[in-house]
Amino acid sequence: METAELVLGEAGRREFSNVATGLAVLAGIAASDAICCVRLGCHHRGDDHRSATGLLEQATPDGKKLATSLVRLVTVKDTAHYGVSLIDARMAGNATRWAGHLVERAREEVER
Amino acid sequence: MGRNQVHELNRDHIAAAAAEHLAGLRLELWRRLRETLGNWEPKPVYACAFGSAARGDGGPDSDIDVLLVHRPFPGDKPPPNRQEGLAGRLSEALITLGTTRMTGAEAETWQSQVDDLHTKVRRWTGNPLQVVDVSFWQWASPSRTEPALFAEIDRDGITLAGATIPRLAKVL
Repeated sequence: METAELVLGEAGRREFSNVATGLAVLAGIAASDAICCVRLGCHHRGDDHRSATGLLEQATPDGKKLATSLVRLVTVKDTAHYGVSLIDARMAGNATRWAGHLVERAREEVER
Repeated sequence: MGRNQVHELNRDHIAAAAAEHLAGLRLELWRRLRETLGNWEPKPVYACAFGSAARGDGGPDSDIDVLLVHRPFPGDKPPPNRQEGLAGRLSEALITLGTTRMTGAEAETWQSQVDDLHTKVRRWTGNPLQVVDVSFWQWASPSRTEPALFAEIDRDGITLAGATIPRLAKVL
């Protein structure tokens, strides 16, 4: 996540937006898995990360809000799949923000 | 007839109504998507289904692929105009078509609408929605380099909202 934020600072160059976005997506998915592991003792397996949102919704009282962040990250990932030029600085900033939300919550859960 | 094999539904069959209903499920999905997107505010500049769902050859677990083209968000920059002469002026005119920027509040509402669409499509079909969500400027820019996506949408796209946007690169 820290690397995504560092790269985002260079997001004036489009290729850095792609890198920041990719890192943010990975961080968000990992954070989602961490939250589910701590709370439910399991996490989603498989490549369809949208299916992981159902598990995340149940994991915590604010699960629906967390799942919204995860769905948005997966949407960005889907958009990137179709073309790197579709990822711009705004999208990278959003992805970093949504991932940051998940990472912060994961940190809280692990430290509980 | 001729070389074609024609099958006729036996409407007296007790399963005929169910078969007819099942055959129309994709059409019902497009109808619901059109109705939903028609009620959005801010509305999509253009939206279409593409991929296997649009072609009708998807499997039971296939994604529903939807392209959403939105008005530019605050802070979005218009694409550089690399065309000269008449092509350049036409390019600029097309860039400004229906592209008033959204406000910050509209951008938040747009995002919530997309979130809600994921939930709706999953409830309607049991399949996940896969969204390609781009601004009009990204979609219409002649500097775009995703020929595979363009080709897929041109070939298979089913319009759900807005008018088909001629991509500048194609038009020019």
